[in-house]
Amino acid sequence: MGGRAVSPGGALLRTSRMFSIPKPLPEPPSTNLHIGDHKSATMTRPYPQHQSITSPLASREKGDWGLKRPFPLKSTMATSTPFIRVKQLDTVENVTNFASAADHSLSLEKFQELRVAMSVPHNTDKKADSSSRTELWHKSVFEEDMDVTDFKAGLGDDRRWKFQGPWLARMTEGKFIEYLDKKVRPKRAQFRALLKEKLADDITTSQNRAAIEAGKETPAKVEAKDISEEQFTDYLRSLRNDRVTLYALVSKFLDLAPLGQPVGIIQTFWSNRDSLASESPYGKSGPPPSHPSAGISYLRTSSFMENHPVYGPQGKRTPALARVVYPKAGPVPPKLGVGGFVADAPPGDNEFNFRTVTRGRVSSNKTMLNGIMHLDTTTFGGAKAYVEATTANVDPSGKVVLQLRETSAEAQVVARESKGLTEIYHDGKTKSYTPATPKTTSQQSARVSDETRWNRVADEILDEPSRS
Amino acid sequence: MPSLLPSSCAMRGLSIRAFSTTAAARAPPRGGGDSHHRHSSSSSLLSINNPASSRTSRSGPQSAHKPSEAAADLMTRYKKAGQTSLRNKQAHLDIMRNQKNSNDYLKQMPRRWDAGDVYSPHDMSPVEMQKWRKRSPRGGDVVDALGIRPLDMYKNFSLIQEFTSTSGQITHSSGTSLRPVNQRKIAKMIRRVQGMGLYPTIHAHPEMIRDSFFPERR
Repeated sequence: MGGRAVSPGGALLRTSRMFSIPKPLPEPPSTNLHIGDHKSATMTRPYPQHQSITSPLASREKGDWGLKRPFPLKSTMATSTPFIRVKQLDTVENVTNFASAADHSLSLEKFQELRVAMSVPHNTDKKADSSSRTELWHKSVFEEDMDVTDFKAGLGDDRRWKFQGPWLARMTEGKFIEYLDKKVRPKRAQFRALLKEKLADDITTSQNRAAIEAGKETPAKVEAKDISEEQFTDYLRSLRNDRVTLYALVSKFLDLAPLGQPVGIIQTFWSNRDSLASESPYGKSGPPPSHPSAGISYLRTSSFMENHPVYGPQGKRTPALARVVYPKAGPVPPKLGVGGFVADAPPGDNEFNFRTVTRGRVSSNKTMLNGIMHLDTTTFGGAKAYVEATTANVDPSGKVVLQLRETSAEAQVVARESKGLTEIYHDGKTKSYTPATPKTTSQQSARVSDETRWNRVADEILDEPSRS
Repeated sequence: MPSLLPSSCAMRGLSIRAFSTTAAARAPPRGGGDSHHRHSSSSSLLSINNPASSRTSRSGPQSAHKPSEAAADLMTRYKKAGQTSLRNKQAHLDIMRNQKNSNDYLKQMPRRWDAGDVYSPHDMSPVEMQKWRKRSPRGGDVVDALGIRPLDMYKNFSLIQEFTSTSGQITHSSGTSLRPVNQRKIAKMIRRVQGMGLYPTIHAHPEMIRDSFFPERR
């Protein structure tokens, strides 16, 4: 510990939330190893690292942002998005280093307009038992049994999102070796003591069971100190061959973040053990670095029906206009940008996918969106399409990954009409939709004549009271 | 905080449209006065997104099936087959041209987007895209990250090439971004392997520059 540079009162003020800007978050790690070295220093990061600060207009005109020194009016007044992020309050040049924070502030606003509820990652490869019913829909991150961090909580222990230990899957080799040296090796004696106690418990239970089956008195409880070294060494050897049990013990002892389960035969062994990974929703995807909602949305559910003032309750939610950010590149699905967040195009048989062989016949999707296979160079502003954002979750590197779904044609029309792009609603009479049937011309003319007669009758009836 | 985005003005245009009493608004927007010529509301609603495609698809000339016109029928079918093949060929050419056009433009967009990336208008600019073209200098200490022992890596020529120039000189620590301990170890290893004669001192390893002398035949 170094000496304190400021007085205790000053230190208190400096560390208080009231007077200090929170420390910046670390730089997001690059997930893809291949593109890790292709990056830009000025790109918009997947999550904001600095607090976004704004100030009311009256104060802004005076350059007052509530910080140490007034800000230059030339840059802070000339913008329509008065958000700044302070990178450094005091530099050696005695100026405040700041930049615009409009990117993340507006992204947040757009995301909240999407009204997306955050959910825990969806485990697709779950075994089909009692838990499969809850896997049919997305579970909110704010569910009471999931939203826990308490290490000692008995039942909710394996469903929490925060762990004491690291996530081994994302560690580099060097970090892993360091972790082994610094954290794991000093705990060796402690773990041996724990194993000894577990062995003593095992022996006691097996003795008791044998005694009950033989109808004898239960023998005395075996203590950890009664176990001989040879007995313990044999137990260690058996444990080394029993990877599943050993992994469960180690991960519980070090409180490691759950790793994905191996698929196959092992799973049958796994199912009847008490293991951490089998239950945790973050076993497959990895634990989130923050709260699984990332504070970007506090909605619990998206299971509600939107009501239209004229058309009534809507089957689909209001779709959002998505930009095709990058077309399909080989096996990589096309990328759509919704409200400033890049997401994979919705899967399935829709306008974003090139339909391939279905039951022996190749049928290319006729109504495919223009910018999916190739970059759309003809549309002004690039290709856009309406999609519906169903849910989002936070991945281990802190990115907010949106899940998209195609929307219906009716929802698109209603959305376009609400923006004034089309006009559907009118005060005139409308016919109910009848499926088109092949009809001859004579029938049609008869129908038309019927209709004109009917209209005349209707006119006569309706006009009568107005005249008199 | 003032709302900067136009907040969802979903109902604004509609409410004016629906409940106004002006003559222009009350008049049915399409179809005029003839109510019986108008399509039903839901069918027009479904086809409004692609007004061009829905009408034209069904118009096919109905061929006559009289035995006397069999030859003429055959002729028209033959012509039609020729037309379809021509159309297919043109469609294929269109696809090829689109693909080339698209690839040319995509070369100017070297960023590979991942799900979960956040972008602002600035990220789409050419200035920003150019930054994704070249490899940025390495940030961290590779030896520490990989947990390797540099002195054991003397047979790993690709690794040695990473830390030497094309003329076989050891790269300065400002270029390798190794911490001093690891830079000394790497430099020692390279000096050793060059002293042993396993790695050339004046050019890159022959295996690494083989392609420039013997380009692969396609």
